Amino acid sequence: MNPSGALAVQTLSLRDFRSYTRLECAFAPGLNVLHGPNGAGKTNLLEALALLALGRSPRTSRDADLVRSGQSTFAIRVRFGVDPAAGQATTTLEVTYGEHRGKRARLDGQVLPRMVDVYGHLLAVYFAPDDLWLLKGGPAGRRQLLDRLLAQCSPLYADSIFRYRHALAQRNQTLRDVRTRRAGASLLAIWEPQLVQYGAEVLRYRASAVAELEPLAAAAYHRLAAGAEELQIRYRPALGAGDGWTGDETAWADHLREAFREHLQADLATGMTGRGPHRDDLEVLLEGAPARVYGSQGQQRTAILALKFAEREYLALRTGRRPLLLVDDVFSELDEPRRRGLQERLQGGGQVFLTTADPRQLQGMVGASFFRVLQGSVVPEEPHA
Amino acid sequence: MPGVGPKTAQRFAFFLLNGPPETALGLASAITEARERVRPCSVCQNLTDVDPCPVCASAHRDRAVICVVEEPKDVAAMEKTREYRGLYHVLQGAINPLAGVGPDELRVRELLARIGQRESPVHEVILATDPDVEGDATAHYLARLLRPLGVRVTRIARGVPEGGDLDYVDQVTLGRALVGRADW
Repeated sequence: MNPSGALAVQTLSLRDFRSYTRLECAFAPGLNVLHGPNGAGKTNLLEALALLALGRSPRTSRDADLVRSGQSTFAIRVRFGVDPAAGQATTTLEVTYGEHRGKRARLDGQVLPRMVDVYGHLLAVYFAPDDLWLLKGGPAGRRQLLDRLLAQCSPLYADSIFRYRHALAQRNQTLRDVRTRRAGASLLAIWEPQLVQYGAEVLRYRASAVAELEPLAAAAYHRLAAGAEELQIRYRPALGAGDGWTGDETAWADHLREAFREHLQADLATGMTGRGPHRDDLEVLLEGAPARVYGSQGQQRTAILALKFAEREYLALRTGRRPLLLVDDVFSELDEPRRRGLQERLQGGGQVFLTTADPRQLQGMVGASFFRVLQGSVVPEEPHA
Repeated sequence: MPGVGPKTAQRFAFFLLNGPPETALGLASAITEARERVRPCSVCQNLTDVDPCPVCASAHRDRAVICVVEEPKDVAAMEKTREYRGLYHVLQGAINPLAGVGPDELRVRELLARIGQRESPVHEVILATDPDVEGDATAHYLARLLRPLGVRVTRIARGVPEGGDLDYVDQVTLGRALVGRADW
């Protein structure tokens, strides 16, 4: 297989996004270090890039929060390409937001029909300082990690999970309507064919992705920690019966149909669909025990970084393009050996955007471009001596 | 009004107010007349100014086939194909519990009444609701009701559009067309 080309953002333009009135900034294809005091707007830059990759902010689900105060619209635009420095063609991706019409995306000027169609163009993996909740919190965050990863690899997955969630919301409303006698119980069955079809697609994609991510994550953990512990990840479908189910889509569809049937009475009692891929979990294990209880703080942080690097490898393998890494202020949380391990992993692997309040932490980084972020401006700096 | 933003609305308003009075009054009376005369066809529920509508009244249409669509605009789209010689039935929406729309809010009973008529038996019902979550669910709902009546129930196919280059087809459509590929 050919070595994958690295995606790189050449320019980022912002209008009325978060703290930025207007910004036009060019970046380097390698490592970009964004530094400045807290509250200067460093994270907002990563957020803008993540929004273009994922169609939504990783920090808030309320788009109105993203508009600069006093304004009612924002616009984010990037010009990017695969190895654009080598003269390859570039693409423009833009997301605009207006109070009444919501977000709209354009690819090279063409309006995309839905926001889910944004997935798969600008690929990115986002590292946030509060990522520890991925391990400590409920399964929703871990499902989201899988969903964002797979939606970036496969437009079909993005469509399947979108339709599955939509049919699920309709079934849940129907469950409530049946309880209040606004609808007959026979109406429940009309959502099932789609829940089974799209749900089975989601299950098959997730199960095979976790199987492929596992060795990547284990290897990344070893390199980051140089530790002896074994990192494992396991997909746990919420189908009610035993785990370890694998197989093709037909098998998943049968399991899912059975799970819905089994759980129907409970669903009617609660007004919620209790089984299905919207309840699945991704289990993260250290030495065979759940990482959230087993690991030290440092081991847990390393496990998360390993997952993120596994995401990067998986995206590169699947799409033939190396994604952007958006790394938000994670160095301050790490001890010295892990910091060095992370620095090594960030170099030579495509474009990286890294924020820090303290650029001295990064003096060992070779070939980095430094930018000073202050009060809504981003100023490139001469290379450090 | 759908598709008209505040700026365009303002332009419309100034155009009508600045022009000769006949323009505005003519438009007003045309709207009044259309609103008063156009109503759902008593047979197919499509919008019409004569009842039954020209399609339902036509002697040249195949009365044994009914194509079920969500909206009047879908009838217009089907008619443009000039391939279809049967009759229509307009549901006036799709089942959408989140929007408070159940089967009783749609023209489902009227459809069932048409199937049972002895003088002109219906052999086939083509379900041409939209290929989205609500349209598919509505098609499933209708299929469950219709099959026991001994009528053939079909659903329009989906996939790659004709006459285009494969590399212009959107990725999802192409992906699903690949998953649903057939022996040839």
